[in-house]
Amino acid sequence: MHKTKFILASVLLFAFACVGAHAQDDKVIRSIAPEATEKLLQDMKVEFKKSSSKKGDEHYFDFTRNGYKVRLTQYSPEDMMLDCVFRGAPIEKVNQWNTYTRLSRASYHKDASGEFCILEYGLDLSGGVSTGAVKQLITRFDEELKKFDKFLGNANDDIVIADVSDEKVENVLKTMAINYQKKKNNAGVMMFDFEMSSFKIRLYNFGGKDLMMDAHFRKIPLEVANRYNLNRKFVRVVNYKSKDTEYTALEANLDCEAGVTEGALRHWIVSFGEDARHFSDFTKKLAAADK
Amino acid sequence: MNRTILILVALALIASTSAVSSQDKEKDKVFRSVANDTVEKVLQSLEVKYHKEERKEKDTSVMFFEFKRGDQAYRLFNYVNDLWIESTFEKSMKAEDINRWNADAKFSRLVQVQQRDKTILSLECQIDCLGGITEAGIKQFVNRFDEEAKRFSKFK
Repeated sequence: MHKTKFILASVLLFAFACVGAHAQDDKVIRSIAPEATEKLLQDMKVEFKKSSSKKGDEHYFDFTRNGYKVRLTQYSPEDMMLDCVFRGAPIEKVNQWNTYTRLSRASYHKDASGEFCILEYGLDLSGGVSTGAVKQLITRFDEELKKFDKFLGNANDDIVIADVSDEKVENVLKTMAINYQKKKNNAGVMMFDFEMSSFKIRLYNFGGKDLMMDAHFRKIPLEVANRYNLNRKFVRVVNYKSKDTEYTALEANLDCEAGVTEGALRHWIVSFGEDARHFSDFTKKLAAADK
Repeated sequence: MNRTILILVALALIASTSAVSSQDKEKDKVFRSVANDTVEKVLQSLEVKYHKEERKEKDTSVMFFEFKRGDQAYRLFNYVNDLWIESTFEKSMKAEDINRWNADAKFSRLVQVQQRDKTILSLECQIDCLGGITEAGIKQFVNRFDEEAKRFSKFK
């Protein structure tokens, strides 16, 4: 008897929790404060970086979704837009997309670095929308990004690349809207320098068979480096001494000998950006503790 | 008669071609989460005898596979979205030497682990599968680490 009551109570509790969660998502809003947008993103477990315009009237939330760098701009409490930059998209393709799609729109641009386009997806809240619809905007944009990438002929996430040529690396960086500089070192290894999560990152291509990324930081003690390595996955921190300086490098390698997919390459690059941010926070805490 | 033989040969050829192509498809299948069966399949293809066990962690459990290649013992953990391989050595090393290995290595890292009664060295490597990995990629991960461990056994 007690067991039946307990089960009934649990079922009711679960039902109330579900209704509560739905009720939250069904709440109709006509505007949203930037703090509420932050909370919404946190609820969706989206890690973002927030910034605001000089006047303080526009707010930007930058985050990565499935390897795409996305910006959510809140122009006003009633008006928000998601966008993502794609490099190397010709104007014909952009126009074709705009005639074919219903939800998002693409705009064509050209600057010193070449052609690019911005895929945009806006939401006007002033007529009244549910908070669930705002969440859906982000989820739906994920799908739009994949579709658009595929439309441009870039998204070959599951195709195994046997030989990761420099061109393949460049293509991946371009589709991630990463601006890079490339040069060869004395040993003939191609290096791609770019910024991610505001860290300077260098990607080395060792003949298409293995890739490596590194980012440099202020030197930390070796014992601390060991402790860091013990607690992290996929990366290692190493201390180096060059002619006139000592530093700690965060490194990650990707073995491409058996082939690698474009999706894996993108994921590896994005994850390293997150790792760089994590290690930077770690060193900052370390410096604060030293003081 | 000759015609019948010719048809039979052609059919056999088609059957073997499609079997090979389905094997190739399987080999190139991209996983974003790795099943324990897949890990076992890879280990079997490497002809290693393994022992599998489940380790209970805080809120979850993880399957690990222990095996030997030559004299070297390995432990491969399947965290589903990533794989972790390690080989431990009952010795300690100066922090400078550990750093020297890490500076030189590509597909492993060396860490010193302080256990209750002893200090050990763990040579380890992890691979993130969330972006996609094939069976060939997992096989390469194990083989590459084997090379690293062999190289480390000669490291002074």
